[in-house]
Amino acid sequence: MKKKILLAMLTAVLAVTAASCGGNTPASTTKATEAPATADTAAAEPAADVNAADITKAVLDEVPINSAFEKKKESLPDYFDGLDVDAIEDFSYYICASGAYPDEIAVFRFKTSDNADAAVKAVVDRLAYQKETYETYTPDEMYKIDSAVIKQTGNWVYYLVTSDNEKAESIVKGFLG
Amino acid sequence: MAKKNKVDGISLAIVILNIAIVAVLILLVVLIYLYMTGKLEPADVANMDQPKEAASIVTTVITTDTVETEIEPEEETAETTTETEPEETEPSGEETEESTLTAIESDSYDESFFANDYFIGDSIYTGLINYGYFPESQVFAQVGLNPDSALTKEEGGYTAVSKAEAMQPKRIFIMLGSNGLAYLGNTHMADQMKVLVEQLREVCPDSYIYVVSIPPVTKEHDAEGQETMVMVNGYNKLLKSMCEEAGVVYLDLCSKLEDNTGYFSEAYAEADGLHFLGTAYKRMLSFFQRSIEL
Repeated sequence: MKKKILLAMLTAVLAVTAASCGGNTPASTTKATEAPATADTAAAEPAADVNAADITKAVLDEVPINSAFEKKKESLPDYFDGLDVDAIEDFSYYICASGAYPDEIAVFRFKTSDNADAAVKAVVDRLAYQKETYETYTPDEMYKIDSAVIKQTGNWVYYLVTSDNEKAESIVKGFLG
Repeated sequence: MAKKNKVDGISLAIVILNIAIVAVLILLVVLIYLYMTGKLEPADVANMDQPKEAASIVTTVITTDTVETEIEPEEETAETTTETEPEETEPSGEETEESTLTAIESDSYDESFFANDYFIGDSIYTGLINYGYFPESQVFAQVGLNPDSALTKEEGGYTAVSKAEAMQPKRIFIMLGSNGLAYLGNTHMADQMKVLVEQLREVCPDSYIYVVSIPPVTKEHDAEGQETMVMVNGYNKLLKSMCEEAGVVYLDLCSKLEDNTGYFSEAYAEADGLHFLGTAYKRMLSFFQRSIEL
């Protein structure tokens, strides 16, 4: 009887061990399939008195970025290859300046919706660069990139790579609709 | 009765088999744990198959008050370098109230001093651009760059060396190695740094070349095992020896960013315990300028 109990206990230990090993899936892989990056467009036009700095400030208040640093207009082409800075009417762009994390938030208002259309490609390319850079460097941070948001709404384009992109996007939508 | 004995015999065999499987699983779990915590490095595993090219084996004995480190010398083959791993030490871990105050000695520097200088580094040096200290034209920095990849990686159509050749800077500051600590051998990294220095010297014969120590890590980052102060100090000592051989200046930035416990001061360390806060760049540039002007 004791042998049977021992046998049952050992079998249970093996089953638990096997189950725990099988369930140890890398977080980034799970996140990648659960929340892919999006690059959507929307037609709604936001209020005229909205400015980009207010939007990024509101996001950073709720979803902070380590070593957040606001970039100036002249440096934008260093980060967004092919971006037509002359077509920008208003913008605010924060990055994690230490290089430790891929976090960044950008909100642009362009002169025309065609300018905004054209700018989306530069933003998509930026996200691709970040993905290539960080996927081997800090795989634990890839959930921020895999769930990144790139959206255009009228003359506006916004780009979110944060620890909580869903929350960040809901804040942006509060301004831009 | 005979049937019962047979059943017991089968049960006993299954019990022994199960014990053996559990033992193997426990051994695997222990090995994976040691590997994940950095106590068992890939190099160690490789060296098990190549005893003649074994790297230094470091045995660290931690007591309640002191840390003793014993180092067995490298056994080198004819093909390997004759350099030996230096003594590696761990920080004391004893913090005092003065630690932060000591670390913040000076952060003033003259921007014009670096107007014709060039910086080569990893993600830490991307901060020089991100924070706006220098334009991209003065920096070759990439996330994940190490002494190996710095010889070949390109950015904007240039390698680190070809960009230096095009610029012909007054000074070149190189800080690389943090990324290789976990998986490249320290000796190999120092050798690759020497190759990089020689290539830079060839294309920029009038430039002054400065090799900068890699920075410290915080106590918390150290505890994670991926990059530790033992690794940092070991690599920096090799780097210093390489500089003496190559005839270039070694700048010990590491000690300037440490607190009194021997770890990366929180006044300068990013939350990950490895990268720089904005304050660390000022400290670094101030240290560079003062070191050169003296």
